Amino acid sequence: MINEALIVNENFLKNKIGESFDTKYRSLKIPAFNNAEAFIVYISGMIDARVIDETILEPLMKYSKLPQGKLQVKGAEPISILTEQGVFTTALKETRQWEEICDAVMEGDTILFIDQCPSALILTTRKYEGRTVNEPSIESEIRGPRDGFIENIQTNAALIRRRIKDYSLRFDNMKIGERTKTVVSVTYIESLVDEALLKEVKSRLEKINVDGIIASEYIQELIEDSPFSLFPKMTNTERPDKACAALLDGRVLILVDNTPFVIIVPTVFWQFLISSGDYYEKFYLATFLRWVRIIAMFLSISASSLYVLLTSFHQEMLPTALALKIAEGRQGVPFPAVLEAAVMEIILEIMKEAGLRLPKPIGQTISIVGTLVIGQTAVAAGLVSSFLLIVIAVAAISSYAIPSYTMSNALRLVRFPILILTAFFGLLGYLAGIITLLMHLMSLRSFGTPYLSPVIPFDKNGNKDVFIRTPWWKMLNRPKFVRSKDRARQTSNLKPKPPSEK
Amino acid sequence: MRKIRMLYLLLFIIFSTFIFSGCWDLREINELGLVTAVGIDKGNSPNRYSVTVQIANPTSQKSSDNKGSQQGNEVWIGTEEGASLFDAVRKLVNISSRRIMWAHNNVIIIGESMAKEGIIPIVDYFTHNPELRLKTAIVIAKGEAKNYITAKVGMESPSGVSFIFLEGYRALTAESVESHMLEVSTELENEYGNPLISEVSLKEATMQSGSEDSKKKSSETIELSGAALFKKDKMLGWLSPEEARGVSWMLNETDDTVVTVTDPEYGNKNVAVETMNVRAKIKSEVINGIPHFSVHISGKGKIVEEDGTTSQSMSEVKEYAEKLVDKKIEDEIKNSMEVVQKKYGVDVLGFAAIVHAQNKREWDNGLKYKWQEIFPQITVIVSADINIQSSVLHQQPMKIF
Repeated sequence: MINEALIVNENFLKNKIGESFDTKYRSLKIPAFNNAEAFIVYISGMIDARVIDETILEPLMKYSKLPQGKLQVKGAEPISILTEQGVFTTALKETRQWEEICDAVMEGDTILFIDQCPSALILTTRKYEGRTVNEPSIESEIRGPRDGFIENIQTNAALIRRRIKDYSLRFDNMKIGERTKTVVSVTYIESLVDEALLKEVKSRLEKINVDGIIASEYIQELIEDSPFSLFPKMTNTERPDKACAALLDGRVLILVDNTPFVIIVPTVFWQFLISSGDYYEKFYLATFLRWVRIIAMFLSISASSLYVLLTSFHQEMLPTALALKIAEGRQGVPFPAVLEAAVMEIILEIMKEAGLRLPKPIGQTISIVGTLVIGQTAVAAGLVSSFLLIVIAVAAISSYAIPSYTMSNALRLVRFPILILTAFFGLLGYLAGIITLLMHLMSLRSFGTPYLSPVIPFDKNGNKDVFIRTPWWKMLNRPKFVRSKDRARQTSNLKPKPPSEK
Repeated sequence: MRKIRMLYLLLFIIFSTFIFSGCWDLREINELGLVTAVGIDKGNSPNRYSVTVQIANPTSQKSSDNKGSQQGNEVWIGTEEGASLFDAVRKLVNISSRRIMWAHNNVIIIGESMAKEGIIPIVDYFTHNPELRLKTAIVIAKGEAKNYITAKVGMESPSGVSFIFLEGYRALTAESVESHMLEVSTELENEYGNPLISEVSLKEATMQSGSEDSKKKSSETIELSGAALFKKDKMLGWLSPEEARGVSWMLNETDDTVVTVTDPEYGNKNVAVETMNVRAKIKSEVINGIPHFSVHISGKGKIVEEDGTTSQSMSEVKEYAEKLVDKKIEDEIKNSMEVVQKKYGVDVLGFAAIVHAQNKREWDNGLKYKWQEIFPQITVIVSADINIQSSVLHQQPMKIF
């Protein structure tokens, strides 16, 4: 509880939040209240100085409606006069709690203390420097909206609101992190969302008791099912259109302040193969592209394993002409195919990692060194076979054809155990690896939803948007596995037809 | 504590399956000798086999600087003798430096003398071997099989790989028969089966390489035509290409086969007809203990060549060409039946199976015990009906005024 004596309050605050260079304590006298002593406190980098000048200081100093000098300042009176008579144009809140006051200061609000008043006023003056809304960098699409989420949660919420004007769109905020006090917002459409899912999300979030949440990935790691699994059980998106589509499915979003990535739950495996661009193209093309991605996923896991399998164990599975070509390429290569493949995979990973960190002007060097030196000269020197280079390149390119960066990272790790198994046991090992992988995928769940649904367990309606993308007028129901309260998405017979003769 | 120890033990056991098994069955592709063709002859002393393998030798990319002269891959040829086939094959390792791998073998060539002695050891060895495919072609060589391994096949150089192509176009002339390991081994295991295996012979062919006339040289190339006739596992004799073709009609092994007939009405000019969808239907009937067969050949055809000039319309040409083609096919079949039945007396066409299926009672009541004696006495009535449908591009015969 704050004290009536101004000096006590000031000292308390200075003790509590310190006197850093950006923490400003400014004393002033209010002419309207008999030149009563007052002070405001704020953090300079987080406020809008113009707002403080124009909507706080100016009215306090100049407000003429108040009978100057005649007013008896007693108790809470000045505060109620200020709030009730509309002196301030900015949002305000009266409080007596120190905790509330300190939190407000930390968030960029300005606090006004007046001598002899038992409460203080919190005035909203927040303004953070940040990026403006611009194009998403990871999930870029050829068509579709060009805006992406940014670090500011307010802006992100507005981006969603602008797309969904449903009355029952809800943002339930909570603060997570003992010290960071990060705002986390559970977003859902109340008339669609499954209550049990919402309850589960909230209870998992409430259980979090950590020092700090720097980014949404922290949250993700803290609430994920089967935390040891390689596979992501939540989608991360920086595209508001994708987030809104998820809301309309009845899913729940988790917005985290200071993170441009929004979490979508529940998420199933197939969603990582779907890009939001699928809905901006004709369904034929979208379906075709999905199959391209499925093939790419398969290749990125197993291209190098299949190479080892075919060249070192099961040469009879190759057509004769191809077998001879591969043998020709491997002529004089001093390593077994397994080692050759493993070494090239590792070199490729090093190149990927180096390319990520290099300053842009030197980035060119990596591509030249990578392609020319390692690629061509290794073949010319007879250290690796040219066929293997093709295989490795195909695997690398394939992993980028998967729309989700998180999923392609997971698959990037999966291919090493499979390669090792193949190296030891041939086809047997390869199949054991793939089967183990499938079994693992089948055992996973994301907030109660089986990870491979709607394929396993099978759901006819859900499958309208997995291996094929049916046209919108056919997707009548929301996917079953999300367990939305309102299954029907739209009315039937929406298929465009020529006007009837009657 | 105990649980953790058990877990470590379990991990150790799993880990050791990797370590101790090593890279089980690992064989690098460039350390294998991929056999593309194999020839089998009798060895120098009795009861010994001589095996000649042709192994594709993929040349390194770097050494192929002189591109023009190198067409395809080189082959390596090795011959070894052994008391058994397996013995001979294993001995090949002594000279080959690479492990022999059969999975890519395309053709098994058996020498004439070996075939006359019996092919059981060969069929057994190659069907025992898990690497070898049952779709591998099997042919009988005139003379020694060894010579065929070194010969060229058509325009391609490693003969084994290219033999598939030769075999693939077999049906265009139908002067040989389809003989793969699968068919030969089932025939041998069949109670009444007698295999019929294609014949290969060597033919002089002139090769001209590059632009230099001096490089013109003649070499031997493999010709696939004719067939070897077996009684069980022992070869009895040869069928000529024409006789093999007669058999092919009955075995449904023709496809786009050309029949050329001479038409006597127009100055003995030729008409060539390409037959399609030819099907043979064989029916049997037992009269007085002697089976009678009727073979009916039906199919479609088109005129692909018409050498004579005539004022007749195409439909008239078609009409008499049909008659001549039918006659020609019937004659071909009759001729080959004559040879098979009278000269060799071996049922290579599977008539026994037809009687067995169609006249089961008579078959069980005696025919099956004396089929060898009865086969030369059976009568075969042949009728052919080829329906010529189009004349490809020409709507009218060419006319000279």
